[in-house]
Amino acid sequence: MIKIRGFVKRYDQFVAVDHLDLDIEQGDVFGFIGPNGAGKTTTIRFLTTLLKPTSGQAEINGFSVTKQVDDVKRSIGYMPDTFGLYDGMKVWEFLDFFATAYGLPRSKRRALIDDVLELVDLTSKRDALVNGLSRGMQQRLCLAKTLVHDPPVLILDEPASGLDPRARVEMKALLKELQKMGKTILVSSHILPELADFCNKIGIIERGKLLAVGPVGDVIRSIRQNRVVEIVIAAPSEACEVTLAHHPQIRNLTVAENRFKFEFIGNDDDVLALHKDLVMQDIQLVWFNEVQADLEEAFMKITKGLVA
Amino acid sequence: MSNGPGTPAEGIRPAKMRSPKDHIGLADRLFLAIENPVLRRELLTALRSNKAFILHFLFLLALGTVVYVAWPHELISTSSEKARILFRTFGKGQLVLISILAPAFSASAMTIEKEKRCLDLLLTSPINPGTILMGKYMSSVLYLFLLVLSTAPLVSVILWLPGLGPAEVGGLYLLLISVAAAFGMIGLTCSTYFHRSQSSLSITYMIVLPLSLILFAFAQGFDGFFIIDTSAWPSLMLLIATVVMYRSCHARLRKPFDPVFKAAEEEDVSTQTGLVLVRDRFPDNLLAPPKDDELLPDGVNPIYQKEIRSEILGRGTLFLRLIIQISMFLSVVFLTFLYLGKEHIFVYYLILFTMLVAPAFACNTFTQERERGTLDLLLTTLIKPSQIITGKFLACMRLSLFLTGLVGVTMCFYLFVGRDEPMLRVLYLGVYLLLILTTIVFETALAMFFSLNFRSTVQSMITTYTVLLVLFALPVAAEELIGAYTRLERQDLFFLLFVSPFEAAYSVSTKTIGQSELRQHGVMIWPAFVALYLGASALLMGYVYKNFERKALESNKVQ
Repeated sequence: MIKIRGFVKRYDQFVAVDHLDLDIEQGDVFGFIGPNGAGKTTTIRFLTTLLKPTSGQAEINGFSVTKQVDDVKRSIGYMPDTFGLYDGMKVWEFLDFFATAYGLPRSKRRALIDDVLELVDLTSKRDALVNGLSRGMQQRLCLAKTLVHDPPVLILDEPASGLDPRARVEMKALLKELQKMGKTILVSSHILPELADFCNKIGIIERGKLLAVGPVGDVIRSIRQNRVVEIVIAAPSEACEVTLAHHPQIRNLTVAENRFKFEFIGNDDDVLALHKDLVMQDIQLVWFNEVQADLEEAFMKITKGLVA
Repeated sequence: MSNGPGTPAEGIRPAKMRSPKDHIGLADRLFLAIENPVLRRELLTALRSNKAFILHFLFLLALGTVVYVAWPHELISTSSEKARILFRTFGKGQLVLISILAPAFSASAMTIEKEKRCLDLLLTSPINPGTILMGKYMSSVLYLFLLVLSTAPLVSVILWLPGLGPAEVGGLYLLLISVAAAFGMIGLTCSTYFHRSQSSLSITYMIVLPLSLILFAFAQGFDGFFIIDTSAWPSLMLLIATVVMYRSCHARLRKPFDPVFKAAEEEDVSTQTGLVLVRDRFPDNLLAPPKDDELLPDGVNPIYQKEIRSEILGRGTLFLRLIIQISMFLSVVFLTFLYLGKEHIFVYYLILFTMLVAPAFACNTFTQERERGTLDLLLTTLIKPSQIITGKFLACMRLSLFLTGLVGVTMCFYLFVGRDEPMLRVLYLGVYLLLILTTIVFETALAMFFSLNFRSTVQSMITTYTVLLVLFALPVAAEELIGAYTRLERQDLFFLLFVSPFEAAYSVSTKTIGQSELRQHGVMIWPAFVALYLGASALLMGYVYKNFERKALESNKVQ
């Protein structure tokens, strides 16, 4: 659905994005993450026809971003990271304006506006002026605008930025709903745990280079090479600490009273063997668990905090 | 018996209520008084670029040129009358320049803070509103004072001529300093009360220009206007007005600002004084059509519809109401000239009005979309650039024509009170209207051109005003100067005159059209003016159409 090949964007000597290749399939919810200034928005602006590339090409829904601009515009719904609204417009007028801008006939517009307002839960605000809406409502209104022409692809740049926790949860629910509707979504965000919740694929970008890309689980596993195991015992035990400290497959052991956390190099059988060994020593295990890696940890591990 | 909450215990004196000022220590107060941080920041940023020096150079160059052209060529000992004329010309030149520059420096001083959402940061800091206001004010007028005082070497040259003394020089500088102080304060007052620089600048010029015209008329009419005995009175009035305005600004700054604009629909009409704008009433509906629940019709230009339905009155009606009320009031004054058979002076007023109004609405066509963050939303829809440009151009024209029409409708009285033949009156009226229309088209095209090329509305607006003043007013001043001090005749200045709509209007006037000296050259000024400016407008709009996409995409930031 979205295909980028060799995208390069230079500003004089400065390279904002460096030979980026990316494939996003139909129905994917792709999380695009990276530190500030990494090149996310540059890539998004290229896809939305707002930026001419130094080199490279991209296709959305089979249309070239640089050559079939109108077809691409018809195929995408774009929500920028920062956007404004027209002060003197009512909510329905705002959506009517954009529906007209996409060439939708008047006969279909009223129903469409009502539908998208219901989807983003703004039906009660239909006749309110847009400048009187809260930040969360304005974000949802902008999302409604991106949906008004029913595009197959949604490109959302930081849709949850600046929202309070409740508005973020609502936004997340909304994106999940859109995912169920079969939309292909490219979303950039800094709120990583939430991205991991509903994205099936992610790409991590830093200094204009794509560092990792693929299904969320695969990326996390590829970044974290070792398992992390956490053990809690019933009472402090010197034997347990000695065993773990001298175990050849254990690295980076941390001890906090009767809680032990460490990296373990080995397969499932090795983990089983360790467990058995501890039980055989009469160590009373309350908790023996492999800690699931999260996106935040993977992100911190792979990126260096460098800004392009 | 115990005391209730909030009641001081016996023997304990209640704490004295403390004003916010009390929280600032003596050392801090001294620091703020001497080292006004707002003033320091403003001066640092203003003087960081070379713009201030270039402007200063041009200011002195203009006045130096006036002195050079008007310098008497006869023997100095016999030209005391000419020396006084030269000094008056020099004073008038400075008066005009200061009147033009003062609003540019102060009218966006506070609105910029509001637009950038920095005013709250300032108001919640230990800097009190008085310090902020004084810092902003001083940074605006200090530069004007510098401009005025830096002309001292030119004055000292003029003083070589006989017949001039300290009374003239002191009177001139007192008046100029007062004018700079008062006009700077008018700008600051508008800036304090309005939310947008665009509105503040326009209203400031609408107030300042008539005042400067009055002062100019006095300077023109009274020989001794710049002598201190005479100039002290207007100076005193201007300084009193400055203090009153300062107090008003100070009081306004102490009230909280609501950063959310109120659209016309939300305004409480009952609290508005004077004129009220109601969408579904004639002629207000010509300005902006009434809002209904109807969707946009198919096939319309959505940008044009958006502009007239929502943008014109989207940020309230105060700005428009003020423009209409001030201009209507002034039109009554200028109406007198219709009865006096000098209808071209009424046309001058209308042209001056369009110079203020048309750029005020067109200079933000693209910058506002950029500043507000709606340009990307537009560019990713299927709206064509040509639709955006045409829609905005037509909406600006509608607004400017409506406002000019409202003020200029009284021009029709000319058909009844004019002193020419009835058929000629119709013809002349048609030509005057054509001149005004041409002027509005050009002003709109020029403002849109700068709006495309500049990043901020303020930059675009000030540049548009400057270019218009140079094009329209400079030929008049040059003609006046050259005519008075050289042997050139009016017909020798054709190349200069047809650039100005004022001169074009004058050439149509009954006085000159019958016996036009320019007809002897086979050309008339007004057709040349219309051809020149319609052509220039077409070129400017052509540039805008051709470069819109490139310029709009240039605003992309590196992310």
